[in-house]
Amino acid sequence: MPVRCPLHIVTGKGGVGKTTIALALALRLARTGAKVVVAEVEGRGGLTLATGRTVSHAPRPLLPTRTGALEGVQIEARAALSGYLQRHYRLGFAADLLQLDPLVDFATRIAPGLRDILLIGQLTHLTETHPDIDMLVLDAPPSGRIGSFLGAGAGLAELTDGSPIAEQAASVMDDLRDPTCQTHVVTLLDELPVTEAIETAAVIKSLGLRLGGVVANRVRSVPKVPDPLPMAPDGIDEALWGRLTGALTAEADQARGQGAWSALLSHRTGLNVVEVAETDPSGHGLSLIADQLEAW
Amino acid sequence: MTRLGVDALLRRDDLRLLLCVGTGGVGKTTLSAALAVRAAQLGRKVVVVTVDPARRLAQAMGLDTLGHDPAAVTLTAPGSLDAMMLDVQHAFDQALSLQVEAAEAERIRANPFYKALARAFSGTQEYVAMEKIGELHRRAEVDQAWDLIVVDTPPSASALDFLDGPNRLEALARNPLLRVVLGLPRVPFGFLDAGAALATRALDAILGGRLFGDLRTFLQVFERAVLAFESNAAQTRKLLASKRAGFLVVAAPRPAPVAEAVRLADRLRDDGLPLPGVLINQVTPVVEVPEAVLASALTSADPAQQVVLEHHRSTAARRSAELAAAEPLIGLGVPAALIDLRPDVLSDLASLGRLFGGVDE
Repeated sequence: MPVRCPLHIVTGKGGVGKTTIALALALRLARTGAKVVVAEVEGRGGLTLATGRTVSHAPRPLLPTRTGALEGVQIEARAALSGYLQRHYRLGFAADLLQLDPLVDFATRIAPGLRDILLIGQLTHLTETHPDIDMLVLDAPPSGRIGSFLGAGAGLAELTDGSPIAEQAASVMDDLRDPTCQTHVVTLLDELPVTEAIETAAVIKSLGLRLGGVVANRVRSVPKVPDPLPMAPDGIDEALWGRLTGALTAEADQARGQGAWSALLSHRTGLNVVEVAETDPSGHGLSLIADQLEAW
Repeated sequence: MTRLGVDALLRRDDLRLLLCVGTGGVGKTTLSAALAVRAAQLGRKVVVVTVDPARRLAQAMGLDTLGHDPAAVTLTAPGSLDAMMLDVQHAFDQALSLQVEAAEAERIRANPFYKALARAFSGTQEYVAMEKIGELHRRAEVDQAWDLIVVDTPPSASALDFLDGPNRLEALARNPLLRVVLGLPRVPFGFLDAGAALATRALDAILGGRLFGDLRTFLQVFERAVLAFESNAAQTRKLLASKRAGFLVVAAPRPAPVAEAVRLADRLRDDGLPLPGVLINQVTPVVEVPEAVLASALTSADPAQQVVLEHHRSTAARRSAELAAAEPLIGLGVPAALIDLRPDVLSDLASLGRLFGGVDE
């Protein structure tokens, strides 16, 4: 039984900024003096891209913090499988020494949920090999796959009834249903992502997991619109001025529209929506985002 | 930046197949539909293959739901538009029915691995997409129903999966070690036996006996299906590498999607696959005002006028930052089109068509 430490799972529709929010959340947690490890599971290099630091199987520093520590780790199927075989059967060398890549790929992907169980198992096992870790943050698969990812244990336990992996699956579900584990949903305040976020929140609850928070990312502020709209200044013709004022009022309408999506999201999930303002797309400003998560 | 003429591309007679590739959340599905509508407006006979479209997109095309067979979309245009959805389960069921007798097919459908294949195994969707592309193309050659196939590729962890997935399935079916482990007929490589014993032990340790048995049963059928697909797959691959095909890499102007798009574009070029352009989607639109005009207006503007001008400035700054983020992709020298972010883009067919109507002068 792994030593449990708080686990924060961050999911959301593709392209909403899961990795950014996962990192900002980790940064905020590290500010309390904790040693926080952010894990990615799909080897997409999102953590590397966001921080410029490489991540591997063992946690290593990701970002400098004044208090606490923020490290990153990559949980990879192959290593997870050899870890599992080693822990339970002293067979780790089987996956390591043999030319087993296609087989590992197969075994860890095709058996329903097996790969996900191994990945989550390897993640929670981190606290055994690294007892100094205080908190884990998982940059999880996108919401389209999160139900099968987090629910894999339940499905697999049922399917395998008594086979060796079933025990692992059951233990993974115990870890995920522990009160110290929370799943957070990141979204944008727009129709499609909000619809998907509401569905995702329902899926998480139906799996018996705790829904931690709903984060609205890249929220645009409502620009001030002069009333009445001013006439064109010297040097700008009426047509051009009309397009400029039109762009401003359209932007204001759109930004106000976010409020309605936020309200719907809050109503349907029963949680306060934590709003994070849009930052420069060059991606700096994790610390600014972490500030906005303080209220969470 | 070399500008991609989308209309000119869609008008190319020799272009028969257009594939939108990229990571999730960049708008591939919407752009595929928009390209298809635009192509029909330009006189092409188009079929668009989408993967898991939002209900609203199907509705925008006037269909309640999309089926796994092409259905006509009502559109006033010189060309025509059909739409269909990729249905992995259906495709495998079809292949299964062709491979085995009804009773056996029934048993295999109940096999947990078969059930999981459609959902869980990365590569399956891509494999089926390839198969469907080939099938549509062959059909088009025969009955001339379509002269352009537009494909929205499956969402995957990595955009590269679309290229690697099918090979992964095939490599698996041909993996000698796996064949030994599963007791399939094999090529005689004696040295594999020791490794196979170990691998068998490992698989048995993970799965347990019953599941392992299910796996063997499934794979024996799976192997037949994969090998049957194979001759078609070779043809499809030839088509993808020919001048009749074109890949469009789709990205949003943010660092992560751009990095993934660059990797994908490099890979397409390395594989000798045609890359006529990149689409940079969701770019903040801005009204064009010459800098001199703006500067002079600002000097005489009253506070209310300044609010309007400052808003323009900040919008222009946002767009510049987005273009800077997209620079690694633009810098590849592949023709690029910028597609502005528009509210309510999906409301109907006309708005889908307009998405590209303005790109090409």
